[in-house]
This record gives sequence, structure tokens and C-alpha cells, in this order.
Amino acid sequence: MKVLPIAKLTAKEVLKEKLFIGVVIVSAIFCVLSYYLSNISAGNNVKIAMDFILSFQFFITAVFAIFMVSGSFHKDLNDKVIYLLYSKPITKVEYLTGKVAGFFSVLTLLSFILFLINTSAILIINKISNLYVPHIILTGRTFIFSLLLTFMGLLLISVVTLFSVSFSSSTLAMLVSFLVFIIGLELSPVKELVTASKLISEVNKIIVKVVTTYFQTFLFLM
Amino acid sequence: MIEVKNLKKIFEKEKFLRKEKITVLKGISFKVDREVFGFIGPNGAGKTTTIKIIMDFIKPTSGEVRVFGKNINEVKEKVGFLPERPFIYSSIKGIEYLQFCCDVYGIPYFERKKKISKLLELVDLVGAEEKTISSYSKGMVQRLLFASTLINDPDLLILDEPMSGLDPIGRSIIANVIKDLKSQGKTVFYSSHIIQDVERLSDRVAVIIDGEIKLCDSVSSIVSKYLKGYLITFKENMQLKTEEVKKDHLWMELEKLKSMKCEIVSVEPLRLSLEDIFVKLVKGEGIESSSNSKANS
Ligand SMILES: Nc1ncnc2c1ncn2[C@@H]1O[C@H](COP(=O)(O)OP(=O)(O)O)[C@@H](O)[C@H]1O
Ligand SMILES: [Mg+2]
Repeated sequence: MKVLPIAKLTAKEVLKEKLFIGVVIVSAIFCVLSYYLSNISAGNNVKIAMDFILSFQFFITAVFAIFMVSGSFHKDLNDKVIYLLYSKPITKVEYLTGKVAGFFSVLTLLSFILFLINTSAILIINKISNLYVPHIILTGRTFIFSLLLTFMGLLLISVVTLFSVSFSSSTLAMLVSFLVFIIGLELSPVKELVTASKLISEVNKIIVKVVTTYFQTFLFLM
Repeated sequence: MIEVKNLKKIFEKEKFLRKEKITVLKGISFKVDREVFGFIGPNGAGKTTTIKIIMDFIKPTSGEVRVFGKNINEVKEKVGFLPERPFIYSSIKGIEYLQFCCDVYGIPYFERKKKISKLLELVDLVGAEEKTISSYSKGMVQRLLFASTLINDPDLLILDEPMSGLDPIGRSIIANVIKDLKSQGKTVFYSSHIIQDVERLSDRVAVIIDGEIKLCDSVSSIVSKYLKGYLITFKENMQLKTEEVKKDHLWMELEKLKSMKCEIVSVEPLRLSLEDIFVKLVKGEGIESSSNSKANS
């Protein structure tokens, strides 16, 4: 099995890029920012702060996943790293599986780090000023959020992998991935419109339903 | 070891809705046995394309390649390959790439340390393995990847321009390793456009120009085939004189000079080097006639 070495190499390569460290640092900074934001806003402070930080992390993770996958494939294909790998007893399936496994483990690690950041932020804030909502509930929410993040990451990774392998240009792959991601987010109203309308044929309705089911995670997260 | 039969490759390029066909290989055939085989040709001759087809990275338009009598994908465990202009992720360390190669070939952990340090010594990279590859020079990356091709102790090495992009020291390192492999009875197939190295290292060479093999023979027979005679320099009455003699008349001439009590300064073979032959082939001149004219002049 040559999947594991490739997964390891991919993960090592990505983890040492500045992108990964950047995402972690920016997330931590935004945690602090959101605390100030909650202080200056009126109403349910904690909820606003958490909504703000979680949706920010959601987007930054999605962007990170897209950049990580398309960037890594770009390097492999353009700089001919792929020849180096294929010259060894590695099949194409092993290569792709290893790549996806490597990306996924990096993303899982990122979700976990984000969970740690968020949890420690909650606990610190709880120490400074007593929270209205019990912190155990908030921590639970960040935990579930991290799980969802991981799952969304897996979806995005497989989609971008598919595009990166089938498109020759990495910019195109990245653009289409972003579009798919945005479409996934905006799909819910489309589905409602389509299923309610009498003008749309059954076939099209089924297509829309299938697509929305596939992208349900995105909707769920929002 | 490698058998290439009537290989043709035509690239198709889309150009404003019409397809443009570029014939890169026009049906080449050659055989590599247990030897060091130099594959030489000018830039754009089709060396890399041939090697890509041998490695099964791209498919030929027609023709067949056998490695160890089989499809290359069945014998990759026994093959080491160095691509043209080598590149590897710059964010990892040198040692991490070598570890990856050990992982791929399933080399047991207790053997790794010894093996890796031996290879690092071989390519003069001791101490650099713990640095990230982004701090390496181009030549260091090339040497690292060259070392990594040896990690599985391959019986056949396929190297695409292993010497280009290296300084003289790097080149001599690689040349020495190739000599070493030759003495171990391994097969090395490598392409190059640096002819001096090829002449020194190879048992046999094939010259490819414009997708055609123009010459495929052992280096010694190529060079001796184009030996036209000798140039004798001698002293007669305190004056330096030179004389050209035919191949068969050398001893006769030397005896004559001896009886005349002349001091012989030097005897040089009048031959074309592999490079001369190569340049003439590239220019499309016939070798035979041009070598005659050189000997006569
Ligand atoms: N993918 C490709 N599409 C079209 N032409 C190509 C392609 N790859 C190589 N060529 C052409 O094939 C010729 C031979 O290239 P190559 O095998 O790289 O030469 P060499 O390695 O001997 O310098 C060149 O003229 C190059 O332009
Ligand atoms: Mg080349």
C-alpha cells in the first residue's frame, strides 16, 4: 500500500506552507476581535460574537481547502513532481487516494486547532466576565461546528481534486470550485422556488433536488 | 534491459480550430543491454519524449517498449528514474523526501539510517539533509533526487540529462556514481547533450537528431572507425617538423625517423572525437567525406 506514504508527504508539504500557519493565526486574531465586537454591540453579545467568529472560520477554512488542494495539484502537475512519483511503483489510484487522505488529515487537524482556539477563548472570556449562557453549551457548539467543518472540508477536497485533475488550468479549477461552493450556499432558495413552480419540468426538479441534497452540508452549516 | 521498437510519436496541437500535427519521433529503435548507454542529441531532438514513453508517462502513437522483457509498470521496483529539471516540494526537508522514498519501497526502518547516510555521502550532501529544500541550490536538488533514485538499489537507471544544471564538481560526482554502478553490473540509460561526459562514461551511444537515430554503436568503435592516421612531431637538425602518416604506416615511419636519429616529440592520433562526429551529424554533413578532408588538410 503506497497510499500512506503519499498522504504523509502531502500533509507534511501542506503543513509547512505559510498558508496553514496563516489561517491559524488569523483565526486566533479574529477570536480576540470578535470579543471586542461583542462588547460594543447591543443585545445578545455572546451569540453575536460566536456567529461572527464561526462564520468567519467557516469561510476561511473553505478558502484554505480550495487553495491547498488546487495549489498542491498545480505543483505536482506543472513542476512534474508527478513524474517523480509515477516512476516509483505507485498507481494513479494510490496517488489520488493518498493525496485526498493527506489533505483530509490536514483539514481535520485545522478543525481541531480551531476547536481548541474557540474553546480556550470561551473559557477565558468566561473567567473574565461571567457568561450568560453556560460555557459547556458554547463549547458543545464549537465542537459540533468543528465536526461540520471537517465534513465540509472532505466535500470540498473531493470536489476540488476532481476539478484539479480534470482541468488543465489550476486557476480555472479554483474558480469553478469557488463557484460550486457559493452555489452550494445559495441553493436553498433556488430549491424552494423550483419545487414550487409549475413551469419547471419534473426532470429539472429532480436534478435540482439531487444537487441540493449533495450540498446540504453547506446549507446546514449556515 | 530496454528494448525500443519502431517508436513513433505525433503530438497534436489545437490551433485556431484546426489541428496541427508535430512529428517528434519518426520510428526509432534501439536496445540497451547491461551497460552504460548514452542517448545524445541536440535540444528538441526527442530525448525527453523517448524517455517519457519508456517510463509510460505518455503513450506512443505507435511502437513498443519492453523493459526487462515486460511492461515497465510491472518492473518499476527495479527501476530508478531522474526527470529532466528535477523539482520537489520546497517546504519539506531533504531527509523527509528520502524517508518518503523508503516508505514507498517498504525499506525496513533499521536499514534506513545506514542507507540514507551512505547515499548522502555518495552525492556529497552530508549535513544538508536536515535543511528545507527551499534553501538548496538547483544542483543540490538534482543531487538529492539522484540519490533518491538509488534508494531501492535499482538494476536499471533511467536519467534524463543528469549532468545539465550541475557545476563541474557536481558533474564529476554523478559521473563517478555512474562508473561505480557500471562496475556493479547495473544498467544506466541516460540522455545528455554534454558530449565529453558521454564519451568518457558510456559503453555505447545512440545519436538522435530530429526524431531519428542517426548512429548507434559502441564509443570505442565509433571513435576508432574515424581514426584516419597519426600526426608525428619530431626534431630534425634542431627544427620541429610534423608529418602525417596513414594508420598502417606508423611503424614504418617511426623506424625511418629512428634511423635518421631524429628525436620524436609526439605522436597524436588523427581522429574525430565523439563531439566532432556529433556536430557533423547535427549539421547534416556526411561524416566520411568530412573526416577525409580533415585528415588531408
Ligand atoms: N506535449 C507536447 N506537445 C507538443 N510538442 C511537444 C510536446 N512535448 C515535446 N514537444 C516537442 O517535441 C520536440 C522534442 O522535445 P523533447 O523530447 O523534450 O526534446 P529533448 O529532450 O531532446 O530536448 C520539441 O520540438 C518539442 O517542442
Ligand atoms: Mg529533454
